[in-house]
Amino acid sequence: MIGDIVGIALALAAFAFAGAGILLGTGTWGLARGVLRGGLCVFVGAAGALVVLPWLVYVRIAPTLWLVLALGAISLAAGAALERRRGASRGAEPRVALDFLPGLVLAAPLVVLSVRAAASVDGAYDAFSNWGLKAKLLYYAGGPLLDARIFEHSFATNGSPPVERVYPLGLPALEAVAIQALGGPSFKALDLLFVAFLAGLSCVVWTLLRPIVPAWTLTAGLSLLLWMPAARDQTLSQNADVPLACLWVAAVLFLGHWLATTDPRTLALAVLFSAAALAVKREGAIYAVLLWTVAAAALLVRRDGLRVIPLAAAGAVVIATAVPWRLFVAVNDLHGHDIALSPRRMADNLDRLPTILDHLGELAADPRYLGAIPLAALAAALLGVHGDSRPLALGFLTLLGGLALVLGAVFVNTSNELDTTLETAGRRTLITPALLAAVVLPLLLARLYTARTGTQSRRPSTEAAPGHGPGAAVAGTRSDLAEF
Amino acid sequence: MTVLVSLVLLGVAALLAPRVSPRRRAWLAAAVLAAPVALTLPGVLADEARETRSSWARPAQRAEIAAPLATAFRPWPVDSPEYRILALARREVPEDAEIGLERPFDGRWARATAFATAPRLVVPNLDTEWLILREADPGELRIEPRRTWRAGRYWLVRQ
Repeated sequence: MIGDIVGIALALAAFAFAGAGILLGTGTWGLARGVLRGGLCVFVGAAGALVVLPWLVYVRIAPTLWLVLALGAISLAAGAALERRRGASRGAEPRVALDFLPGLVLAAPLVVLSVRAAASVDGAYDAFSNWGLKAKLLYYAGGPLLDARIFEHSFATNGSPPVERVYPLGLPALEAVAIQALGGPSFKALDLLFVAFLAGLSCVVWTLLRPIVPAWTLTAGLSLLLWMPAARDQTLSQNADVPLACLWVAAVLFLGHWLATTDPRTLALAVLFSAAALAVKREGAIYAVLLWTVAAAALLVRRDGLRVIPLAAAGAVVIATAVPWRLFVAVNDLHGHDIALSPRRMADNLDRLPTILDHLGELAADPRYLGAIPLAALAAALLGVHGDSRPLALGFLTLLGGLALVLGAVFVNTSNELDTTLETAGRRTLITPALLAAVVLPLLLARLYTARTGTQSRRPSTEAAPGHGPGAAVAGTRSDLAEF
Repeated sequence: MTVLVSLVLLGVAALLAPRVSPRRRAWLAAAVLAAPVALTLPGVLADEARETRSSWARPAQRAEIAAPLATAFRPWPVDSPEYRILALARREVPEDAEIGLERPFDGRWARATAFATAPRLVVPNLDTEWLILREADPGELRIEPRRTWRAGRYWLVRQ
């Protein structure tokens, strides 16, 4: 037990090493301080590893702890050099900290979940048969060169291979690193790695929203996220859906921050998290398209067309990160057998869409999601009526509607039996909209209840970075964020 | 009920908000967000405590073997033939060996075997030194084993 905790802590420390370099390199080191910064380092580092490790796997370099440490050292050296060069030209920024009491309240659900994770011995179907199996094979490949057998005939013995080889390898590569840190496969202990994704998302939410949402409102909102039974169960299933959801929602928040503040540093992190989501599951690609489309539409509606160019360039970088994966798929002539998007299949099965949306709607009202989706939808609808924060409300509702249509399209195109697919995959795929709703909900409510007077409800407890410009710059950032 | 109560609370709070001070509005929002958590937390904690207690009683090895590939995707019990044969394979078959499975090749069983027995390589033929059979016994396949182990209808064969 102690060995498991030490092993996972070692893996997370290795990711944090790389994450620190990325935060320094993107100039976001100063966004947070204390334990919050530590959490960001781990989450950002894990996202970086998810993006980079599969590239190396495709050229037959096995994902190991030493490789992550080496990449972390390079990232840290490059990041520190960039930070030094940036020096005094860097603007003042709010350094958000996690207050003691809210920190304690938010630690409780994570500690309880970690205890449950440490005891749990049961995973879910896909976790064993896909992600975990590939992680084990990547781990056992050993040495610097990846054993090719993970891609060999034993996994394609009939028309529908037991393991879908077309999936991106981000999550198995990350798990392989953790397995090495654990000293061997321990899928009981790997649950803790998945808890880290929820914790990482919470750090992002606190860092970005704390300057504009009162501490206890945000604490209550994050409690809703962290105590959500569906999210907790899904986290311990070791399926890829919770990592995908956490990474994509983090990308949404960073991109939203960029839209509200024009801060190019958070655009860089939006790219990183979106690329990481894409490296975890194929849905990440559709989610990225959705996010970038909604962001571009928001800019065009605001007649801020000039910023579409950096947005498009950032989108191109996200696409570029997937090129090695697509090359690997093309070179090996791989095809997915479970879902194949095609206009013809879409047209043939379009009559399934009402059934699918009805099923997803019923699930959204399931108390296991704590009503996050209907609550956020209602709050956004009311906020849209008030008018003060209409762009926020409309942006959120568009994203939510887009997610519903994306999920509908995925299920319309399934080649498996629809009822079974909805039964087995409906709950886990709904976790992305549920997490999105849960993290946006405190912001929506803070706006909704202050909308009529247009005043901020409470002075945020952020402070200017020591040695930097006057508070005016910070106030300016807050003012910009108010448009978030 | 939880969702309905929370939605009603959100609406009522929206009506009350203009009548309270800005400072109290933050608490109003916090109360609306905390309501669904408070309503479900006792049940969540009780369920998780029960699950954690029962998990401690299970062998840790189960996480490596009992892939939830059986009916309705529930993990195999530790006394099931599937679990016992895979535990046997992990104990008896050298890590660098290949394990042959007979055709027709069942995808779910192949995945479970590959997961539980990795780094041993699962292959779809009967030419290997080690075999796991489930559709037929060694005699039916005209295999002359050096040694066999059996769990229910499953056979681990060394030939």
